[in-house]
Amino acid sequence: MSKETREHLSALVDGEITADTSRFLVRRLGSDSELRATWTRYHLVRDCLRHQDGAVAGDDLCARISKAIENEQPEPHRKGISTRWLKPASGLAIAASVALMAITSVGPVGPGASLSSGDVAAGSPVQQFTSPQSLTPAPASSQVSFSGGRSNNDRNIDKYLLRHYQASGATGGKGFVTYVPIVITGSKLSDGSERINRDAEPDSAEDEESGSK
Amino acid sequence: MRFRAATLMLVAMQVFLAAQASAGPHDTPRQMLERMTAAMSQMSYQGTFVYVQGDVVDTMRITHVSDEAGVREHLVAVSGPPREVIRDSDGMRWVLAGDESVFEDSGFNRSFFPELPIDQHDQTERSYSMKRGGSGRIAGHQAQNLKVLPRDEFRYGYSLWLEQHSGLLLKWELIDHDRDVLAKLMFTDVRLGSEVDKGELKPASRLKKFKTVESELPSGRQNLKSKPRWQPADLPPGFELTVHRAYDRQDEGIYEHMVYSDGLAAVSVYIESNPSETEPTSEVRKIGTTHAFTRSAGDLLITVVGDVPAVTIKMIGDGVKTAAP
Repeated sequence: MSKETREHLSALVDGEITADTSRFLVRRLGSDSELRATWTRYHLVRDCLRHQDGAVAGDDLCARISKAIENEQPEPHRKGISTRWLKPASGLAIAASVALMAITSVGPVGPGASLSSGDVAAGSPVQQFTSPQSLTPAPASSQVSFSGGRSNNDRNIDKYLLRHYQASGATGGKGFVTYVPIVITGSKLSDGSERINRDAEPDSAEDEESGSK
Repeated sequence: MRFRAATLMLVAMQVFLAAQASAGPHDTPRQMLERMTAAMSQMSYQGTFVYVQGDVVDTMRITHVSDEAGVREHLVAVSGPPREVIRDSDGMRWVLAGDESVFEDSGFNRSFFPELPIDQHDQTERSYSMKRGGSGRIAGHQAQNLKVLPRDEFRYGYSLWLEQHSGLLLKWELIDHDRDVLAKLMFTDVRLGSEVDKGELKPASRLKKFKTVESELPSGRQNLKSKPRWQPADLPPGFELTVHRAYDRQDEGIYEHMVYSDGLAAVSVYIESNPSETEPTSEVRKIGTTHAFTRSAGDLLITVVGDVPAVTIKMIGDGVKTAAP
C-alpha cells in the first residue's frame, strides 16, 4: 500500500478528506483487495473492542490483530506529537477509528463476508465490498476542532471536574482510569456537552440480580 | 539513610505485592478488588489502550512508575487532538496542546495518588453485587474477570479483567443498571516492572511554551470534623461524606466542597457565593460518562459533579439545603 493511500486513510480518519477523495477511496475499496483486507482488519479490531462478553477468542484475536497492525508502516507523526513511541500506537488509533467509521457509516459486513482471523492475518482477498452511499469522513474521534472549540460552559465545568477527580482520587482503586474522561473531555465533547432532558431520566428498571448475590 | 529507608520500603512493598500475587484463584471478589487497587497504584506498568464510549474511540498511552523517586504517571492521547494528564509530586496538570495551555489545580494539597480504600464503609457490598467471571487472555496476559454490578439505578457497575498474578486492570467496562455497557477500555499491549521505559514519563508537549491556567476554585481546608453547612436532603443508599473542605472569608465569599462516596463511586457537591447574576440552566449535563448539574439558591451557586447516573446527580443537586444546626 502506498504512502499516499495511507495518508488518504489517515485523512479519512481525521475527517480532513474531501468528498471527492472519499468517494474515490470507497470505489477503490471495491476493487483493491489489499486495501480491503486492511480495512477488514480494522473492522475486526472494532469487533474485538465491541464484543460484550469478553470472550477469550476475541481477546486473543485482538492481540494478533494488534501485532499485525504493528508490523505495518507507521503513520507519519502529526504536528505536536513527536515522541518515537507514539508510532505503533498511532497505527492502532487509525485502525480503531477507521473500524468505527466502517461500522457506523457503512454498516456491518454481512455474514457471507465474514473472515477467519487466519485469512485476515495472511492478508488474503476478501469478498467483494459494496460501496456505501453514505460514507461520511467524520468519525467521532476527530470531528471536533480542538482549538477554540470549547464553549464557556465547558470551560466553566472544567474546574469542577478537575477538583472532583483530585478530591475523590482514584475512587474504587481503578487508578488512571479515573482520569481518562478528562482526556476525552479535551476533544470529543469540547463542542458542547450533551444535555439531559429532565423528562428523559432513566426509568427505575428492575434489577433481576439485586439482592440475590 | 533516607535512601535506605526508601529502599526498605520498596522491598517491603514488593514483598507485599508478592504476597498479594500469591493469593490464588480462590480470591474473593473483595480480595480481587484490593489486589487491583494495590497493583494500580504501586506497580510500574506501561501500555497502549483503546477507550470506546458510544461512537467515540480514542487510543491512549499510560506510563505509571512507582520507584524510589516516588509515583509518577503520564496519560497521553495518541489519536485525535493532543491531550495529556501528568500526575507526580508537583500535583496534576491537564495539558491541552491544541490550546497550548496547561490547566493546573494546585489548591488541593493532598498526598498525591490518594486512593480511597475500596471498603471504606461496609456499604459497598450492599450497593453492589460482586462475582467472579471467567478467565481469558488480554494483551498477552492471562486475566480473571470480576463483575461489580449495581444493586440500584443510582450508580454504575463494572466488568473488570485483572491480570492473573498482579491484579493489574487490563480491561474495564462501565455498566449501567440495565447491564448495558456505557464505556470500555482495553489494553492492546502492556509492559510490567523493569520493562517500563521511564523516558515516556516526559510530556509529549513543550510545556514551557504553554500558557498556565490556574483553577479559580479556592483551596479550602480539609475539615471532616465539623459538619458541612449545607448538605443534600437525600442521598442514594450507601453514599457517605468522605471529603469536606471549606473556605470562608467574609470579604471573598463562601466555598464549600463535599465528596460523597459509596466506596466505588463519588459525587462532589460545591457550594459557592455566586458572583454572577446569570441564572444557571438547572439542567443535568453529560460530559463523557460524567454528569454535572448547577443551580442557584439565593445568592449561592450549587454544582454537583460525579461519575454516576444523571438521576443521582439530580437527586443530590435538587436536595441541597442548609444543614440542621
